[in-house]
Amino acid sequence: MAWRETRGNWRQFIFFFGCLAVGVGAVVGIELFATNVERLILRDARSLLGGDVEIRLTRPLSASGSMVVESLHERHVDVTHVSELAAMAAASVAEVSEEPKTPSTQLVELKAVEANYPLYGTVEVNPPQPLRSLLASRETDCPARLCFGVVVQESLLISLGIQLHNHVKIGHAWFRVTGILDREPDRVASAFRLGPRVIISRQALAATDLVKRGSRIRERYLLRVPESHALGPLMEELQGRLSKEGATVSSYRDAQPRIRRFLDQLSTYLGLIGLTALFVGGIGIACTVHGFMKHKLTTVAICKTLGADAGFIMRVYLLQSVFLGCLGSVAGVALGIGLQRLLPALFGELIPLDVGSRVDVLPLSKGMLLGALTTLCFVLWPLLTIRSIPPAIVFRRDVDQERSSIAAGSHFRSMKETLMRLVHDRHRLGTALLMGCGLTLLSVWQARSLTLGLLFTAAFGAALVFLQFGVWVLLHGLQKIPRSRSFAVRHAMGNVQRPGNYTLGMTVAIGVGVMVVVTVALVKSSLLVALGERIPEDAPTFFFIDVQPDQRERFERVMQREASTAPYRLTPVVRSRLGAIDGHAIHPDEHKDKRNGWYFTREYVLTALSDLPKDNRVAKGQWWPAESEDKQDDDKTRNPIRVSVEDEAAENLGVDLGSTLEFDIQGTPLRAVVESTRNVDWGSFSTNFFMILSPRALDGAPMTYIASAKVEPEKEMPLQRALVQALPNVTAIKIGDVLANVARLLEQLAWAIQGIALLSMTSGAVVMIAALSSTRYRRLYESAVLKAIGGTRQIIVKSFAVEFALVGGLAGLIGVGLASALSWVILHFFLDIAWTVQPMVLGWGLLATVGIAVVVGFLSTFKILGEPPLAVLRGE
Amino acid sequence: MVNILHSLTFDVQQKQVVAVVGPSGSGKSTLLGLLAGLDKPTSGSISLNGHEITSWNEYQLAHFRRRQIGYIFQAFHLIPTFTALENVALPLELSGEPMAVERAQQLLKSVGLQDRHGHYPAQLSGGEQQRIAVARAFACRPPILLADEPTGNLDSATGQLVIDLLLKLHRDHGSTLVLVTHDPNLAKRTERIITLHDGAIASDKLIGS
Repeated sequence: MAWRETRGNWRQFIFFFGCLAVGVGAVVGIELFATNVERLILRDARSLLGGDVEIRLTRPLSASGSMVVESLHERHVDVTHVSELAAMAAASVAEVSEEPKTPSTQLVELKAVEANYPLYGTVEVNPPQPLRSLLASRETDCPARLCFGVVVQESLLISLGIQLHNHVKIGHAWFRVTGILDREPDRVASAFRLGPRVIISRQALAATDLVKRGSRIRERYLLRVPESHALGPLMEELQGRLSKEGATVSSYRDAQPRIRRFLDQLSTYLGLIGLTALFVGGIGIACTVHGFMKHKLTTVAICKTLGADAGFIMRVYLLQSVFLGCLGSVAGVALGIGLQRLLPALFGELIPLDVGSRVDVLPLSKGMLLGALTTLCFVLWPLLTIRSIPPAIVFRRDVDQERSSIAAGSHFRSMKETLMRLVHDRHRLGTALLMGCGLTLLSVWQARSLTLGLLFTAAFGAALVFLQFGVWVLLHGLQKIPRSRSFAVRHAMGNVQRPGNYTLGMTVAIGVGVMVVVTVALVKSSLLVALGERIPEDAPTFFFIDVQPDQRERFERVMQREASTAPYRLTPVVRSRLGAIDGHAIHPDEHKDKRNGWYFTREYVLTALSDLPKDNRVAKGQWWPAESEDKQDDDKTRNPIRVSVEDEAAENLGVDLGSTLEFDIQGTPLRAVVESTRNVDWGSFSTNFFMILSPRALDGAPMTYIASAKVEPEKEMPLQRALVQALPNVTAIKIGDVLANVARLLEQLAWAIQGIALLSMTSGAVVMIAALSSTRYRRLYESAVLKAIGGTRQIIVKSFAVEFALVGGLAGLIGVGLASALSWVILHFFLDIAWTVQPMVLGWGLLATVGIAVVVGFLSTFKILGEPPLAVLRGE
Repeated sequence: MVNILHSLTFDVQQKQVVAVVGPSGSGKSTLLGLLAGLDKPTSGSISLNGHEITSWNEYQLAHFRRRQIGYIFQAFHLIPTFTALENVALPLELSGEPMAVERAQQLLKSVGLQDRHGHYPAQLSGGEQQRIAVARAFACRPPILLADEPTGNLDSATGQLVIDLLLKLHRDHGSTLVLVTHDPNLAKRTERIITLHDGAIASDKLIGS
């Protein structure tokens, strides 16, 4: 019987498929994409790390450390040494193509490699030649005596206004651009960068003379270990022998834990957005089945008169629905396979991997099952009406509940009646609980976390309740408005409020979509506003790093010459790692994967100051009093060095006043006692520190200076150029560029999430089409009546337009309202950022929803307009 | 393709009341639909009130119906979301009549339903609904009135009431009335009876001649 019913009514089920297919497609697409990324990371783990094992340091290896690495060759372990640092690149004036020909400079991310780099994977360069030959030095066609080859990202050529085969100066060395870098194997998370990547040889790095004592640098030794060697013991040995170097040893098996965590979280949240689309589709399924059942009143009544009980008939229609759910899921799976091909483009540089589009069975099966179970959950409720269909309907055709309930009472009354029916009817209550449990289980399954799943269900449920309540309130409000004199408005309002019009279903479905899309837009806008507004007026525009002690005077001279009025501040710093707390040595491995474990493993930039910096406030203890230098000398001999710790760092490190911290400053230990904790306003963009030592504590340490300066915009470029010329090793970081980079990333991420969120919106649109198709006959009939009494097509179109705009307006209004609340929760509780009213986002959200509702409405009903009225009125 | 009507030619004088009768499937309702411009003939022509409407487009026909034709259906066909008053006022509003509501109130009074002006169709009996439909048909004072089995869905007493009303309003407004009916008693109350059979005129008799 289920099959016969399906066969005879397949047209009505197209929308059933549509509602399900979009949601299942979203879930499957995201799942396939995530699976492929995960597989790629695991498969290419060696090339993503650059070797089987990586030794990572923030300073060059000492002589003994170098011997340890050298000794690996004897064990047939291949080693390649990679150094990464920020530097300034300057173009040759003669070659700059843009007028005026000024020597432009650009902050770059420099990577110096050996001839055997990379050990795994390939560097993709244009022209496709071996990296070794591209980086080789040459003496001809060079502004200096010797030029090295350099491979750069294309963006450097654009920013410097030069071309391939032109020359750039980095530090003290000249380079000829020999290739454009398309992809390097060991750089996955390249989304955030200070500047374009530049690859040079190690000989060239030496020639630049950039690496000085205390320079900010990342040293990586990448190892290819013969298969006969076990990695575990080797890593342990290296960790032990290089512990004094502050080295971190990791293997490819750790396979980019941070990226994997990021992707894992991203795919979980996107998966939940996909599930939202699926659940929204579920609302459409419920509407379709409800509409279908209204057409099946006679069939059900006949079955009942022939002796079938309600349970049997419900099982028939349930079987039919689940069968259709499976078919719809198949369509969804096909859609998902298509969608996953689009996702890499959506993520762009956030996931710069060649993800591919392999199709795994597991995500497909999951999508199928999710689709079928969602169908089951959402059809139960409308199928309950089977119980209340009286067999006597066969003999009476005067029962038209839709008509009789028009103007029967307020929406509040119907809401109350629904609730009372739910409480007093065991079957309804049981069904509601079953649906709730089912949807919760599906959410937990999709979220892969009980807490997150429960939270999602609660949030979705709350959104539905608020949306329903909002629609009820607004419809009630519409009833109170005096009836318009305009026919189109009155007719549209009547339709919107008419029971059986699925206004509630449509607005809830579209509203959820709007809520998701607008929430993402609101969070993004607030973050961007915060980024822009958080910079105080007096914040510096430039940071200069790696100013050597002997360059201090020259630096000051350049500043004086190029930006005499610009306030700047030079601060001495050393780089260090935390070696021990209260005598207990810190083992980075123990903290690697822990939440906030980076407080233990990170590099600390130390400074010694006599005065409390201006954006700092002492939280606990007291700041050391400003005393004479003689006294300080005395103190240094009598008392231990003191340290002031940023309060959140102190909390995460578990240190308090009186605790002893032992720092490892490039091999030299330094012990300090915590004398105060500070609250730091990091948003001030001033030079701030986690750890500040008492004055003169760093005397004799390998210090460099960092400087911050607030420079007028027109002096920025000349100052940068002059500094690069005078102090080639000094790196200038422009705050504006960094923030622009963050904003760009944020935009990219928001774009990707919004792309997925649009699927919820699409799902809402399909639900609207489904709901409108359920009211097709009624619309056809009324259009025919209107035509018969002289109504034109334009009048009917106007009336429909107002009705769809009203539906869109209701959905949009409640959707953006809920999005405002949701974005406030996210910003306030999770991101600690003030929520700001975004009238543009809200306005556009509302307008777009109205527009979409009108367009979708017309696409679903335009055929009605051309139908000849006579046949309809005669019931043909 | 089935030819429902063929070789069918007749004229109706102004203000005449004509009944079109015939067995089911003889083409009565189709004829009425053609007269109202709700359908188009595959061949032939239709002139109404001096206008040749056969070649008109949908827009012209709608405007013509608005001003020239009142139509009463067997199944009433009121807009369910509109009140009785709004249903009657609808053709007036479509015509841009500024005093639509006032005129609709008068019409409701003339069909004896002034007390039911705020009721929705679902809250009215069949007879009341048809009286609303009659009032609606007369709203724009159309010169031509077409009624398709106006008593078909009503019991005989109510049907009688509706017919009395229809004929009274016809007299008051001086419109031409063409009604399709199965009811011989109703047909006898008209001035002329056209009998259709298999889509052709079987007889065309003036009553009393």
